[in-house]
This record gives sequence, C-alpha cells and structure tokens, in this order.
Amino acid sequence: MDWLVQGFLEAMGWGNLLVALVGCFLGTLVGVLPGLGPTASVALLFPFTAFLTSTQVLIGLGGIYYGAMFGGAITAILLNIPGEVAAVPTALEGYPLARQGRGGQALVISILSSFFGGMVALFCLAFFAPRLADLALRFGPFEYLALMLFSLSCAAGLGSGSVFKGLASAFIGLMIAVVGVDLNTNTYRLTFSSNLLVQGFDIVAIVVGLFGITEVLSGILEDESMPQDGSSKSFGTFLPNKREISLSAPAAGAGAVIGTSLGILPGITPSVSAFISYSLAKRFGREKEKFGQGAIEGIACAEAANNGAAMAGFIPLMALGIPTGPVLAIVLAALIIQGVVPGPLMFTVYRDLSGTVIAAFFISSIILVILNIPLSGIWVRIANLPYRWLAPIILFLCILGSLVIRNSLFDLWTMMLFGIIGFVAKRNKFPIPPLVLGLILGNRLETYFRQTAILGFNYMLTRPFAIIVVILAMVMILVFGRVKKQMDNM
Amino acid sequence: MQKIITLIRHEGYVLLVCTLGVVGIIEGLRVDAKVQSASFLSGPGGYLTIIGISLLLFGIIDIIRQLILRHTSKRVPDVARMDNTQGADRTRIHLTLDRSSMGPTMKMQLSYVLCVVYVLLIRPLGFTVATILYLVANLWLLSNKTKTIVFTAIVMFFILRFGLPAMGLSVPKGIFGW
Repeated sequence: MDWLVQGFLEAMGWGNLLVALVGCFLGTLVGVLPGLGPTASVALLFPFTAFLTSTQVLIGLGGIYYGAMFGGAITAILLNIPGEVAAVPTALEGYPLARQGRGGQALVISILSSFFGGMVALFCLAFFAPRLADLALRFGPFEYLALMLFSLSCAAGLGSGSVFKGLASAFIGLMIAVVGVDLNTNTYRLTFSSNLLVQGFDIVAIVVGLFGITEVLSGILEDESMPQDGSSKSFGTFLPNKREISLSAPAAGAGAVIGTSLGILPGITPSVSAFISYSLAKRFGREKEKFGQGAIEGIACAEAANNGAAMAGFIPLMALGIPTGPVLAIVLAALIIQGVVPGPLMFTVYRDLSGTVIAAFFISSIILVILNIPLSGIWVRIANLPYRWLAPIILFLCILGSLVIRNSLFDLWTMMLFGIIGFVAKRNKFPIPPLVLGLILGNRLETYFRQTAILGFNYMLTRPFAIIVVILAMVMILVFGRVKKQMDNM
Repeated sequence: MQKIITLIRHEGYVLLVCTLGVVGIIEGLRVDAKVQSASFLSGPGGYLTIIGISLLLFGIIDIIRQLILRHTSKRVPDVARMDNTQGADRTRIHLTLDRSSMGPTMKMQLSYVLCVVYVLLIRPLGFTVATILYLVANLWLLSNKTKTIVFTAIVMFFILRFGLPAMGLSVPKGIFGW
C-alpha cells in the first residue's frame, strides 16, 4: 500500500490539485450546459489535455467526467433538464422535490450519494485493480484478443439501433484505425495514394467531430422544440432531515454496489446502472408510493449507481486497458497520445502514476462536493443560457480543440467530415459509441490478432480463459440482440 | 421511385457498410499481394480483409433482417413515419435570409456551412479574424441580439489575441500577422 500513500503525497502537489480543481469546474460547467452529456464534455475538453503530463491527463479527464455527471444531476433536479441519460431518474424524483421547495435537500442527497457511490468504486479500484492486473500479467495475445473481442461485442449493445448496426459501427471504427502506414511492414493501407492519409486520421479530430459537432448540430435542430418548463425552483434548506437520511443511506448503499458491479462490465454505461438501480428501488424501496412524486430514495440509489459505475469503469481500463464505454475510450486515447498504454503495467511499471491517479480521484470527489453545493445557483444560471448563443461558442471550441493538437487544417476537415457523419448517423439511429471504441482499440486489436495468427489460432484452444471470454462475447451479442428487440417492441 | 429514394435515405447505411466491406476486402487482398508474410492472416492485408468480410456480412444480414421485418410486420414502417415528419420539417426551408422565418433545419444547415467557410478562411485571414467573423455571422444567424453579438465579439477578440498566446497555444496567423 506504499504506492497508494505515495500517490496521495504526489496528488497533493499544487500542480495536480490545480488540474483536479480546474477539471471538476470545467466538467461541471460543460455538464450543466443543455445537450452536452459527459461524453461530449470529455470529447470537447480532452484536446486541451495534450499539454499536460500523463498523470495530469488522467486526473483532469477524471475530474471533467465526474464534474459533467454532477452537472447533469444539478440541472435535472432544479430545472428538470437531465444533462445526460443517467440523470433521467434523478430528474423524475428530484424535480418534484424542487417544486415542493426541497430542491436543496434533493441536491445534497444527490451529491452525497454520488460521492458515496464513487468512494465504493474507488475502494474497489485501489484494492481489486492491482490483483486483476497481476492476473493479467499472465495473459498472452490470445487472452487480450479475446478480451478486446468481448469489449467490442459489448460495445455493439451501446446506443440505439440493432446489434448488427452496433457491430457494423465497431468494425467501421476498426477499419478507420487501419488507415495509414502499417509500421511492421511499411505498407500503405487505405491511403488511396494520398499523402494526407499516410499518418492516418487524428483520433482527437474524429472524436470531437463525432460528439462535439454532432451534439451542437442536433442541439440547434432541437432547441426551438425544447420544452421550456424548466424554470428554476427554490432550493429551500440544504440540510436533509433524519428521515431523509435514513431513507437515502440504504438506497445509496444498494446503488453503489449495483453501480460498481455493473460498471466493470464493458457496454454497461453508467446510465444503464442508474436505471437498473432506480427500477429496483422503485420495486423494493421503503416508500414505493412516493416514486414519481419526489422519492428521495430514487435520487440516492440512481446517483450512487451512476457515479459508482463511472468510477468502476476505471478498473478494467487501468488493469486490462479495456474501456467499458465511449468516455473511457476517449480517456484511453488521451493516454495513448501521452505514450502510456493502460494495462497490467499500470500497477508495476507505472505504479506511481496509478497511486497518484487513485488519490486524485478521491480528492476530485471531495472537490466536487465542496464546489457544487455553494455554486448550485451559478450552475442553474449557466444552464439557462440560450442555446442560440452557446452553439457558435461550442462549435468554435471544437475547431480550436482540433486545431491546437497538430496545427493541421486536414484535422479540421476530418472533424467537419466526422461531425456530419455523426449527425446523419444519429438522425438515422446508427450507433456511434461502438465506432469510437473500435477506432481506439483498433491498433492493439490488430497487433494481438496478428500475433495470434503467427502462433496459430488452434493454439487458442489450449487457453481456457480466452475460450471462455470468446464464448461470453457471443453470448453478449445474443443477449443485446434480444434486449434491443424487446426495447424496439416497447 | 419515391419509395427507392426513401429506402436509400433510411437504409442507406446498409449500402455504406457493404461498400466499406468490399473496399476492405479489395484493399486487403491488394496489400497482401504486395507483401510477403508468414501467413495470410498474420500479414497486413489479412486483418483488413477479415474486417471487410465482417462488414459485408453484417450488411447482408441486416438486409435480410429488414426484408423479413417488412414481410412479417403489418405496421406502418418507421421509415414512412420518419419521412412524413421530416417532410413536414422540409417544407419550412426557404431560400431567404429572413432569420425569423427560418426553420431549425435551415439554421442548422447554415451553421454547418458557416463552419466550413470558417475553416476555409483560417489560413488566409488568420485564426483570430476568421473566428470573430464566424462568431458574428453564426450568432446573427441564430437570432441573437445585436448587443450580445457585439459584446461576445469584443470579449472573444481579447481572448484570442492575448489569451491564447498566454496559454502557449499556437494558431495560424493571417494577413495582419495575428
């Protein structure tokens, strides 16, 4: 545990503390803006992390991610505008409470539950991730290939559309990752004799285009039809009473366990965890009859599950290098740009970095609690900014973000192209998150695929873990196919 | 004809997926023919070919799935419903610069066009000037008040002119040298 203590000492350095504070602030700021969820927030801000050290990148993006999720909860409770899907259960219960003049209490319960959920997942990250990494040290290309196929099969379940659309999206991502020079054989692939494509597409430009530009264009389209019932309600008192605490504590505990357990699995986004946890609380809660009219239990379990899942996603990311969703795929991309490839080495070679990051996540969670309660009023005012003013500013930030990395106009055109592709895909319910996962995992997947091919695919039969994971990947495709079919019929 | 256009618009992704699949297979085989490797799959072309074949398969499976759905379902297809709603939206598009009469679709499309023009102007005019021009145009297009537009432009000018260099961010300089 020395590495963790050392991590705390390192994280308390002024530079890291400042990055955590700025990350939390910017994340919440962007998170409260209408139409921008955590994925778009992280996509929009991550180009600017290129100027930080690898430790600071993880701290900053972690802060932005949690800040954006907190921001979503604030506007959900006070304005009935969930900044992201995961905040919908919070809006369902929080806004009625705000209308009753208990917005402050709902906000405090939501923030404390998020904090608790995050802490449970952080505990698991600190104690289980190193063990998982130890296990992963024995993995060869077979196991990694199987894990990546599992991750892609789970990713096919992300977003809208059928599971085949999801798989097609993931494979398009793999294909885009191939564009450029194959470093092993110095062969040009999919460059079509263009020098611009020799280096391949810049991941930053693609991610900013797919999430930033797409979200803004969709926002402009939907702004005028957006319901305007979200007037700010009174905060009332901030201190929850004993009854509210006794109702919320077990609900938050259950939410944290559900969120952390599900958050480890690829394809299970925090929003899925929040909805599952909320449904269970609605069924087994102590005040079932209050659900839909302002049940504090609903807020506590959904928020704890949401944040628990978000934090738990870092366990497979840091121990295995496998992102569980689009946000963590962007975090992975940012680390790869820095020259750090997450995996088992994070707890051996980069042990100091891991300790600092875990400590910084803990500090970020505290910063968010301290920051968000007094600043709630300001966040609400920012959330009320008209989209007609915000849209050009966000588009400008997208362009600036894509430009500053390599100062290349080709990256800007890439961003614009993928922006329109993302927009058309969104309008036609073609899922984009699997594409991003495929794009980011592409190079490593190819390396493991080719290593496995050299060793012989038949040798894979002697690796039981790899076989089990491949079977699980197929099962996940069947499960997602069935679930999506049922959702379509609903 | 209308039915075919509607089908292409809403199921066009299947064509795209199949096309990408074919491109992947052709490129994979081309690369493999150029490079000597231990086996087809371990070479740079084999992996790409596998991706191409997978994409083609997903596309074909989705076509079959859509055909089965069309034959078994008696419901009004989502495609037709989506087309109706989007058609209603399309009727609001006018070729006029009267902002108040513009529909959201038109505003969205023009915002994208403005972004394209913005990117084109970055090299000749410089990032600062191009950004200010873009912001003014897009803020005006989205029906912001003149006071808001002027205030935003002034604040952004100072951020771009002095803030970005202070942060160590390098952006293209134009005719004015900044």
